[in-house]
Order: sequence, then C-alpha cells, then structure tokens
Amino acid sequence: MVMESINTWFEESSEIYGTRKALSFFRGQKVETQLTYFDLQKDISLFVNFLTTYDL
Amino acid sequence: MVSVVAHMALLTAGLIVVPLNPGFKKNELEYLFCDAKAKLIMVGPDKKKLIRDIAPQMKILEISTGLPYETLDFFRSCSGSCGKTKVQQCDPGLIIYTSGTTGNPKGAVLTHGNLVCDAKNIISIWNISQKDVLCHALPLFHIHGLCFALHTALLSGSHVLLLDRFTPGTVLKRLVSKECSVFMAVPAMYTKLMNFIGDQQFDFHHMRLLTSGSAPLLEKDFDRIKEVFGKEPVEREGMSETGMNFSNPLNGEKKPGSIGIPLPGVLVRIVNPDTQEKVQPGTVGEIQLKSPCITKTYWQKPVETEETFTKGWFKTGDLGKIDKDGYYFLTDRIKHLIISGGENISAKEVESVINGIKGVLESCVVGIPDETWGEKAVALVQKSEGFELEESKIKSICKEKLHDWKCPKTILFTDHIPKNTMGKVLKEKVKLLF
Repeated sequence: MVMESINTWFEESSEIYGTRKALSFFRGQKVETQLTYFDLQKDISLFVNFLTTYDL
Repeated sequence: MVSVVAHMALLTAGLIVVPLNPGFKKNELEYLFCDAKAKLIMVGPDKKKLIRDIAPQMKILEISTGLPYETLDFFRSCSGSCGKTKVQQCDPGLIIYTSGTTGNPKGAVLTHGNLVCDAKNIISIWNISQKDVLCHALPLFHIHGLCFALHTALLSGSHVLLLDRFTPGTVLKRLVSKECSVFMAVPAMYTKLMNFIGDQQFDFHHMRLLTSGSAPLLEKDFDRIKEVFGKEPVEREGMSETGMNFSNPLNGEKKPGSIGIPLPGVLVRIVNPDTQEKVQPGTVGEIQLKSPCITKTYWQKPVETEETFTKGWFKTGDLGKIDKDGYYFLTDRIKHLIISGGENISAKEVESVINGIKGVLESCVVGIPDETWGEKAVALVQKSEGFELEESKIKSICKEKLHDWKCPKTILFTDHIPKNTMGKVLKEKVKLLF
C-alpha cells in the first residue's frame, strides 16, 4: 500500500473497514453520534465538495 | 465530531489545516491569523464576533459544535463539484503552532509525508489495529490528540470513542467498559483520574495500552498508574515539529522516568550545546534528531528555521542522556538551565528531589535574577491535599541531597502550578510569582 497522504490512506482504510464503527462521539456520558468508516468517508467527501463553494 | 470531518476534508482538498486552541485570547488570535495568512476560519458561534472584530475580511464558517452532528446539514446539501486535490508527500498539510512559552509561537509545517511517516511509526510500535478501541479525551488542536491518537486510530481501523471533554468520571466510565483497549493521555489526566478513583477497585485487564506523553511523568505517578490500572504506562516523547520520536517498548522493559528508545527511522545524537561535539554515552547534552517525520521549516520564519537546524540535525532544545541499555532520559530544557555563580543547575534535578518529599504533590524550579550570583534557583511547590509542610523542611532536605548552590533560595506554596492545556508547566509565568 503506497500511502502518500493521511487522506489517501484513510480512503483505503474506509474501503477495508467500511461497516465497522469508526467514531462514537460522547457528549458527557451519552453517545450522541456513531459513524462507520463508510459514513465518515462519505461525510468527508461531502465536506470536501462543500469547501469548493469557498474561493480558497 | 464535525471537527474530525472538517480536518480530514481540508487535508483531502489539499488545504493546510491550522488547529487553534479555543482558549486563545484576542491578541493571540490576531498574531496567529496574521502569521498563518489564513483564508478561512471555522469557528463556533461564541467566537464569531471576536473573529469578525479581529479580521473583518476573513471568510468565516460558523459551526455549532453544541448541536448534534446529525443536525449539521450545511455541508450535506451542497451541490459543489468534487474538490479533491492530488496532494504530494512534500505538500504542507498541517501547521501546528508551538506553545511559545517564550516569544511568539512558531508554526511548524508538517507535510503529508511527515504525517504519514509519524502515523506509520506509531501504528507499528504500538501495534494499533482494527481490534482496538481508543478512549480519546485529548484536545484535537495539539499533535498528541490529533496525530498520535486520532490519525493512528482511524488509519488502522480502530474504533474511536471521542469524548467532548476530559472529566475523570466520563473517562473512567469508558475505561471500565470492556470494549476499551487503548488510552492515550497526559500525566495531569492520569493524576486527576487516579485522585477520582481513590481507593475504589476497578478491573482494567481489558486495557492493553496506556500511554503518557506531552509532559514528564513523575516516577511516583508511573508507580501509581501501575498500581491502579494493573499495567505499566508507556511513556513516550514527541514534539509538534517532529511527531513522535521516542517510546518505551510496548513489550519490553518500561523504565520510569525514561522517554524510551528511538522510533524506527529516528536518528539521535547527543551533543555539547556549546561546541556541537558528540558527548560520551551517559553524559548530558542536547538531543538532536534526524527523521523523515521532522518538519523542514517553520511557517514564514527562515531565520528561526535556520537556527533550529545544524547540518541537517534538528536541535530539540532538550537536554538528555542515554543509558547503557539505549534508553533516553530527558534532564531539562536548555532554556530552563539555571546558571548561578557560573554553575549550571538543572531545574529538573532539583524538582525531582522536592517531588520526592512526602507531602509534595508537584514542584516547579526556576531561575530568577540575583545580584550576587547572576541567577538563583527558587521553587514553587504544590502540597498534597491534607499535608502540612514547612519551607524550612523542604530547604533542609534539599541541603541534604543537593550542593548548596543548587538549593532553592526561596520556596513559595501554591494551590496550582500554572500549566498549558497539555499539562506543560509555564515556567515564565512561574518566574513572575517571585
């Protein structure tokens, strides 16, 4: 596996671990959100597209 | 949660991420915006007005982290085109501003190659894998929480339990849940956790890795962690500019007070800081490093960059030594050396004597100007709860164990030693107390 960047490495990880839990966010003692690797990669892609609306 | 998504998206888009401590004050933010030449700031609603005042032209993306992640649909309803950019290993990905305990903070530029190298190293030495569940209660604006913990977990398929903040009760609940296998923390977090646990007994057998870094772990806290958690902590060392450099071995002897052995690909030499000549093993000198994980530059600071490197070696500013087994020990920061009457005093050496006194929770020794000796050592001491301790007792124990010129001439007691968010003592603030 050639890993040039954290993001390309993460994309490969998301393909491997797709439906496994990636992140569980706790607000205080309660789980508020859970994302699988697939969910997280999807949201990252959406956020990347969103960033194009800014002229950066 | 949205911070993680935004961080990964910014890297994917080929932009440079500059994590900021939410506790920064107006003057600090003014400096950082100007220095970083930021084009967009992502900020919570509470900071928006402040940012607008500081930088009226700045593009601001307001993100309400107080709202549930699912309700944040601003980025999901966008019809923008694919913003992925092919990044190269040499492209900058992250600028982390050093804590700047003296002078203005410097932005250490970490390339994508640096970040990948660091993550590979940590995953490899600590065997981080898809079997792991990480309890993550560190701030994401430091290299510890962002790179050492978050990156490595997500790249290796681990499950990250991301807490909105550190409180001993919430962390303990996660750690005792049988799912959790890894905990990365700073020494102050362990201290708070163990004080919270008190005499209670919990089963932590399912935990396979407890790491400590970002500040020195006192030997008595190493022993206490071993007693409370039933496992020795893995102490390690890293810097914003370098990623992680040293760690005690996961499977092997962990030496209390040692930062461990170099990570793969990290070359280390110890030199006399005045002559730059290598010193004999066991002798204290400046630790200098070479590694593909190390930054090549401070952001827009060519002079400081040049001063930080010598013939390709990164000058850490840390004094340390190697023992016969190849383990490294930090003895002090060069800038914290106290020079009194021409003699060097290591603040850390004096602190370790004071910290060993029953009733002392922690101490901080600094040098302040002295008309006769140039500088003199003074100590700020925090007592353990419920203990009575006199200045005279500390002075007499110091006299027993240290040369006269090393002994603190004044001792002040405090309820808390000033520290930054990662638990590093702010020595410049301590000096102002004397």
